[in-house]
Amino acid sequence: MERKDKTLNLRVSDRQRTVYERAADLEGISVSALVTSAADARADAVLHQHASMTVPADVFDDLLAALDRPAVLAPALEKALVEPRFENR
Amino acid sequence: MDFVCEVLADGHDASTFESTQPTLDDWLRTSARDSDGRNLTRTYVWRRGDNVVVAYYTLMPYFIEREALTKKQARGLPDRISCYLIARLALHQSLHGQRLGSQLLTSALGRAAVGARDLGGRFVIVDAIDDAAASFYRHHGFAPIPGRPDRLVLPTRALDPYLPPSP
Repeated sequence: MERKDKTLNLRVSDRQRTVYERAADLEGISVSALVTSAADARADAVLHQHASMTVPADVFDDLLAALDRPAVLAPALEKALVEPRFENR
Repeated sequence: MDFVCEVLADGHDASTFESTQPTLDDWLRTSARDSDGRNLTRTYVWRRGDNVVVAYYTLMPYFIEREALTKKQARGLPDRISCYLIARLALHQSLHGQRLGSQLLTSALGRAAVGARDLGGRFVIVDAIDDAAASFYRHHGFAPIPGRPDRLVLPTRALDPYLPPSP
């Protein structure tokens, strides 16, 4: 479980507040959970389009090292290459 | 049973496409064409003779970046690796259990192999939507990135057998 010890203050209209409360109530979750789940989904989509991910330096170095090792095809991929294909290009 | 594989286009009918993941189905119907039009991603479909889409995958260029080092530490070290991301891969649920998922992955890897040969790119990276997807990719030789079990990689160098014969 992620630690949630930061706050985010949002300015919303009367209407937004009422609507969020009603929706949260119907789902049986807090307004906070409603808003953050929507923001999570949107942020995910945006980051996805941003086309990169950042990893810790040691993980990055392991990935670089993996590129220097001989590359072998997994048996499942070998098999997929030789079995009859359903695809016509 | 034979499918034509081609870039998603206007004539394709994705209205009945149903994998086991509604988010993947919705994305194909509502966003894939727009994303393609802006050259953010490229979506390929398997379609039947009547243009009905039965499977698809989405590829895009991608980078893995090293967490910021101080300038001095970073001197001379590469700080990003170029990759191809298989952002989505889905098969109509009526076709599950016939090893068609492997064939679909093979098709996507063939395109990544050509991309890497022509333009460079060192890993194919996949976004596994759930545990079943992650184990599907592990079975096909992808290795999880430590700390990110939903992201798995395969070096493009392994994909030479996937290259079509040179013209």
